[in-house]
Amino acid sequence: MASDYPGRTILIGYFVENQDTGTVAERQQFSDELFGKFDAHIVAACAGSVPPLDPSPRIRAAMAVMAQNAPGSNNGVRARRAVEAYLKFRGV
Amino acid sequence: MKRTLPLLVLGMMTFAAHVQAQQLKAKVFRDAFYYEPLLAEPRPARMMLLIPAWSKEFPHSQDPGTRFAWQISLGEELPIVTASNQVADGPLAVGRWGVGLWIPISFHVIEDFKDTSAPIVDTDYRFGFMVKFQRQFEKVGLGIRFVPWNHESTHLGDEYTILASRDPAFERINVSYENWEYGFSLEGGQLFSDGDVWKVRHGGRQPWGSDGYYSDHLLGSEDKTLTPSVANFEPSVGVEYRFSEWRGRQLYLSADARYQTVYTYHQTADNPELRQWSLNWQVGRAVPEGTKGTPLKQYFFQVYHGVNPYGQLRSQKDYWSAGIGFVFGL
Repeated sequence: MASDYPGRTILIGYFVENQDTGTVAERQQFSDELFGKFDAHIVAACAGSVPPLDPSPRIRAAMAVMAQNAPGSNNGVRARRAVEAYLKFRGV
Repeated sequence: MKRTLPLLVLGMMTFAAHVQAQQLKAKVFRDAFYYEPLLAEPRPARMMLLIPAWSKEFPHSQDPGTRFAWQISLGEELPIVTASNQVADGPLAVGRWGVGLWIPISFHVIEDFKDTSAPIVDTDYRFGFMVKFQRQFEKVGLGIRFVPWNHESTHLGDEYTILASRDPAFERINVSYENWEYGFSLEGGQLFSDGDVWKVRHGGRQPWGSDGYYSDHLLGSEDKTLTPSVANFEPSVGVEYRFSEWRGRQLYLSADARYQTVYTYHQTADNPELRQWSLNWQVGRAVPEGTKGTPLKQYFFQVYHGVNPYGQLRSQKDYWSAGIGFVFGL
């Protein structure tokens, strides 16, 4: 499934990792990879929060970029870390 | 044959389309986590301190018995270039692969605090070229390491040598060689719980050429008085299990076993070359692989038993050392 993450957030994530903008194709693949690795975990973790959260693509993209830079032994752990950080940021 | 050719062409076209659909991204001087050393691997290129640590007495120790002897490894696998069909850093997703070239370089030191002047017993230097490949399948990952060329040079400490020279039978052997090495790794997760990680490994190494691991003459002499090592292929197996994270680290058990040659410098029918399984095992806590910004990567308790791993002291079998260890990294 193709990523619905907005390009601006993905640009930040790509730049953090590469200190470069990359090509459109590289950023699109980066976006698809982050979506594939983290999005289902992010949606599940958000649905399990109290109250449940239905994040927009922009919020999910931000959390995916955070997850990409989070420590963790698998993608689920890293995604949950990002969601926890976001919920703390939101005061939930 | 009539069916095979079209199927082969179709397969190649599918593969080409697959590769084209994904960017092949090359990165220069950037690390990638392919075939990371097993945590209990005895001589990887990384920064490790083993202190407090104890050791069996060495072949020429002046004071007999167990001694306090710390061990230091300083090294790094220097990344040169990697290529992958995954653009994002981090663990490979299903169907993605990566390959790269590294230069592993490391120094390994052991110091004895029991004998006079606390001698540096031995320092070993290693460097080489290493190709690592990793591919992620649905349930498991496959890692391959191939070292086409590696050099190891070993040096007894001068204070140790001076003390050992009191023994007229002491000989200074030049343990120095070039070798190749390979390794296969199967890796996975969620064996018993979400977030756990397991690895199973097999590897082997052998010196290039038939002259073995050490020179056939003593240092400072041209006379060929030493018998070269014969059983030069050293296979290894390893296993590792990391439990789910707790407070940012994973409790782990890691073990590495190697069937090593016991250097026998004067082989005869009555004194043949021997081999021994050397086992290094650790229990400790480590940050998940790929964690950045935490300099202390792992701390552990380690026990080693087998052939002495240091330079010409590899003539000593049933050697042991034990201690608390720390691994640091960027």
